[in-house]
Parts: sequence; C-alpha cells; structure tokens
Amino acid sequence: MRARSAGRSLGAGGRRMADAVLFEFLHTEMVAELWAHDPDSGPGGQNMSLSVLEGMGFRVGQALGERLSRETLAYREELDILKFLCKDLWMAVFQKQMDSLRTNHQASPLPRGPTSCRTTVSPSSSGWPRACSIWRKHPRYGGAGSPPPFHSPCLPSPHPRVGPGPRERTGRTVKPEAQRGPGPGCWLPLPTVTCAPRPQFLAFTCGLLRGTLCTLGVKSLVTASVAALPACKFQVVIQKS
Amino acid sequence: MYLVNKDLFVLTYGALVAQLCKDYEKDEDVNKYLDKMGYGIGTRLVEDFLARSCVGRCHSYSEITDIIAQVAFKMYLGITPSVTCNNSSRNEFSLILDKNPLVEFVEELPAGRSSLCYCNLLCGIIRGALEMVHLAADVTFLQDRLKGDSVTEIGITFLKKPEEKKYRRKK
Repeated sequence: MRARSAGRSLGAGGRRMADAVLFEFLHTEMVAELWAHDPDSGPGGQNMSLSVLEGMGFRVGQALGERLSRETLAYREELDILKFLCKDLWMAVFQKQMDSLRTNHQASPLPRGPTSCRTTVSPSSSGWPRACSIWRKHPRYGGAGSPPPFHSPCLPSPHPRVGPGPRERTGRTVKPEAQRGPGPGCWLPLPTVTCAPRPQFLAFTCGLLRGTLCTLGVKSLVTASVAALPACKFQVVIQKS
Repeated sequence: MYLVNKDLFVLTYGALVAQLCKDYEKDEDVNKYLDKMGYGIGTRLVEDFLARSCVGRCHSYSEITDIIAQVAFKMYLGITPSVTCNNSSRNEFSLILDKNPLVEFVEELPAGRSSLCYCNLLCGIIRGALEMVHLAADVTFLQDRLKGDSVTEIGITFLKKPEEKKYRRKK
C-alpha cells in the first residue's frame, strides 16, 4: 500500500523534524490560548499572561534539566554551564548552536560590559526562535532582588507564514498576532529598539533557560529581545545569593 | 546529548494541562480547551503531514483511519495504534493505543480530576486535520488507561456529508 511505504521512508532525521514541528504548533496554540487577547485587560493582564508562559517554560526547563547526564550536572563553573546551554542544549532543542557567548568578567571590579553575540536564525513560521545569543550581566548592574514578573521586551511581529495556510483557504480569519499594535509595559534591555513588542513568543523560551539553569544550580533572570529578525538575544543575569 | 524534542513536547503538554487545570475548575472546560487547541494544531499539522508523507487519495473511511494510525501517529508520536471498525456502515472506528508517549511522565490523574481527558489534544488534532480535507468527524476518548480502563481507545465517527443531510430533509 502506497501510504504505508510513504510512512516507513521517514528516517531518523525526518522523525526529529516531525517532533520539532509538533512542538512548534503546540507552542503557537499555547501562546494564542494563554496570551491575554482582551485589549482592555491592560498591562497587568498581559504581564500576568507572560508570567504564566514563562512559568510553564521554567517547569519544562527544570524537568529537562533533571534528565541531563551526570557529567553535565557536575559542571561547577557558571561559564561552563552557559557554554553547555549555548552548545549542547540549544543544539538539541533548536537544532542549531548559538554563535557565541559574551560575558562580563565577574572577578574584575569594573565589568567591561557585555560583548555582543549574534546568531543568524532560520525563520520559523510559528515564530519559535531557532537560535539566540546569551548576554551575561553582572547582578550589580541589573536584576537585583527576587526575579520580577516577566518583563516584556520589544519584539517585532512573528515571521509570516510563506504562502497561504489552510485557514486562509477556508476563508477563516488568520489569528491577528501580526496586526497587534505595541503592547504596554515594555522594558527595553537594549537601547534603540524600534519595533512592535511581541514578547509572548519568547516568554516560554526564557522560562526554559531559567528552569534548566535552576536545575544546574544557577539562579538567574532571563529576558529576551529582538533588535532585528531573525537574530534574537537572551540576557541572563546570574542572581547571587 | 539525547534527543530532547519528543521530551520537550511531552513535558510542555504536561505543563499546559497543569495550567489549564489551574485556570478552569471543571474537567469539561479543560477537555474543551484541549480539544479546541488540538483543532487549531490539526488544521495546520495536516499540511505538514501531507507534505512529508505524500499519501495519495483515499477511497474509504477505513483507508483514512489506517493512514491516521499507521502513518500519522507513527510519524509524529512514534506509535502505531491498532484499528478496529465498530459498525457495519463502516463509518465508526477505534484506535487502540498500547503505548501513549503523552502520558510518559504521568502516573495518575490529579485528585478531583476524574473526568479529565488528559490527551484530549489528540482528539482535536484528528478532528481539525480531517476537517481540512473536507471530512467531518466526531473524535472522542472512549477508554482511557489513566481513568482505570484496560486500554486507551480513541473513537472516530465520520459524519454524513452536509449535502446528504439536506437531501434527506427535503424528503
């Protein structure tokens, strides 16, 4: 039967892609369902929605972290942990490594400031980031105290789908994420970001990173920003107890 | 580094169900939203499935159900449910799941959630995907191991086409 042989031809690489697609679609629906649609809900409602998404990502990151090998869990240096995130975890989750990691030097009394770390991101139709960079910032210069609710960075609209999707063909309204205006309560960790904020698509990822770091013994605050698609930056602030 | 993709999906799904249980008191509401989200996924997933699998045109409901079980479930969840036909008109089928990766990290339903259909997303996905290829169907869980049943069974009932219904009314 033709259908059976078509199914069997899917190799390991194809199977991995199918898993990724399933997760991307689930993430898109989660954001659509949990993101505060009501424009009257105000900044409080939207920040709560972002916190919910970030919290879910945190729990998933913790669970993923617990399934890591013992060699990984034995990392002692924070830099080694961040390198693990950039190389191994990112490769496993997003099929791409981060290009580079920049960090200030905590030992020096005057931090030199973060070096930029850009990665090119292959566009994703669901808006799920394919790769991003991590900034590490000294806690004295940001993110003091207990992590606040998720701060919404400025993000542009999610990458549009190429070609008409099934919803367009049936005449249904495409979900209006791309038409939304700037949201309130925007925190800009980077200067001069002039784009409509779409923080809901990166909230889960930030939580995922924070959760994995937590399992590896690093308490952190993770925020994301997109200056220009397809690049994306994650800022990791290590919380010192 | 082990492949985390499937775990990522399963864990994320678990976090989603937990969040919906916090947001909605009634199991029926959680089931409804899982089905609704699954429907949204299914309407998009079917395109991805058709592009990857290159299945040809089907000529019967039985053939379609076989493809769902042997190709689609295999492709996305790595399992192959068995298919049974439940009636002589051959429009009611069951998918029997021996293994269900979505419940890999679930031991039992939360307390006070005895009517929760934990995997109701799957029903919505199947329903949404079928609707995109112009097939209306009711898809529900008939049995669920998490509820104490011996197997997990998804029932698919292909509904009559609207033109046939209109014809009957005119009579």
